[in-house]
Amino acid sequence: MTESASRSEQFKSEIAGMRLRTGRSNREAVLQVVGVVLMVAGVALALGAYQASLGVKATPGSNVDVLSSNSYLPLSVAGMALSVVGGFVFLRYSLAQFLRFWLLRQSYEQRLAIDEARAAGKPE
Amino acid sequence: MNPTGPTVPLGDVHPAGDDRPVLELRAVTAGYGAIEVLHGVDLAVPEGSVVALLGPNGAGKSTMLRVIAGQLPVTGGELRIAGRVMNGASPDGLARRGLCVIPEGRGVFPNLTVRENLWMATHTGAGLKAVEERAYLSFPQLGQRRRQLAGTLSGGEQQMLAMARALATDPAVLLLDELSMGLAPLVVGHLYEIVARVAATGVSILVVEQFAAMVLGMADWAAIMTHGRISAYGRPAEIDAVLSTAYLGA
Repeated sequence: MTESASRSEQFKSEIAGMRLRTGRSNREAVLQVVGVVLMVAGVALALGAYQASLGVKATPGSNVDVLSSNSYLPLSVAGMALSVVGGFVFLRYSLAQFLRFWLLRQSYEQRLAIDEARAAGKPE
Repeated sequence: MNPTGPTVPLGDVHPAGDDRPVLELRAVTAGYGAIEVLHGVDLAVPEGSVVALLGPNGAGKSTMLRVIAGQLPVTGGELRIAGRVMNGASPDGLARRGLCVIPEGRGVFPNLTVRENLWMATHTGAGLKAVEERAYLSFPQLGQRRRQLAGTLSGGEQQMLAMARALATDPAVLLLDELSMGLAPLVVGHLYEIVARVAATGVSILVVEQFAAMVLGMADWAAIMTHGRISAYGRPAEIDAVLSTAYLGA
C-alpha cells in the first residue's frame, strides 16, 4: 500500500469512528433557557416559602407555630440556591457565545490594525 | 494532470463506480441565522482528485467550505465525508482527522512569529522541528523570516505560511479558499505549483476561486456555483467553455 493510500485509509477509518455531537448550538440555547427558568423558579420558591411562613397561625402557649414557620426556611434557602445555580448556567452559556464573537472581533481588529500599520510604513 | 476518463455530464455531480467521493454534498442547505445562503447544493469530490469551485462574489462558495469544515451547521440535506453522513461534526474533530482548511484571508496569527504560527500545526502530534523542516523545504523564504511577526510578512508570504501550516498537519482533504486573493500572478503561480505537488501525493483538494484560468489548468473536475447552487459540473475544459455564460447569467 502506498503512503497516500494508507493516509486515505487512515482518514476513512478515523472518520468512521468519529463521534458526532449533533445539535450542539441548539443545546446551548436550551441550557440558556433552562438557566433563566431556574433563576425565576428559585426566586418564586423562596418568595412562596416566605409567604407561606407568614400564614402560620400563632397558638398561645405552644411553640408549634415557630417550628412550622422555621420549616419553610430550608425551602426558601433551596429556592435561593436554585436561583444562583440558574444564574451560573445562564451566564456560562450566554457568555460562551459572547466571548466567541469577542475573540473573533479581537483577531479581526488586530489584523486590520497591523495591515494599516504596514500600509502606513510602506514608502510612497 | 487532467484525466482522460469518462465525463460526468454537466449538472450530474455524483459520479458512480471507481470515482468514490471523499466529500459529497447532497441537497445541502445552510446559512447564517434566518438567511439561507446554500439552497440545495450537490457536489462531489472524488478521492485523490482536485475539484475547482468557481463562481462570482456572493455565490456561497466560502459558506460551502465552512459547512464542509463543520464551522457552519447543515440545515438540510446531507454532508458525507468518506461515505459517512457527517452533519453536525465538530470542526476540531474533522481537523484532527485530516480535513484541513486554508481560509480566505490566510488565517495566520498576525501577532505571532512565523515559527510560532508553525507551532500551531503541532497539534496532530508532529514535533515543531519536523514541522519547520517540512515548511522551510517547500517555502525557503519562510525559513529566513522564522522570527518575524506573521502580520509583517507580505501577502504572498502570509499565504505561504498558511499553506505551510496546513501541509504540516498531513491533511487527507484540503479545502482552499481564494488562494489568489490580493496576490501577484507570479506568487499565485508558485502557490498553485505547490498545490499541484500536494495533489500528486493523493490528497483530495477542493479549491474555491473567483479567477478560473490558473485553477482550471490543474483541476480534475470543476464546478460553477451561482446563487447558492451548483449550476454546472464537469471536466475543466467543459466548464471553461460555459464559464462566461454562467458568470454573465449570474
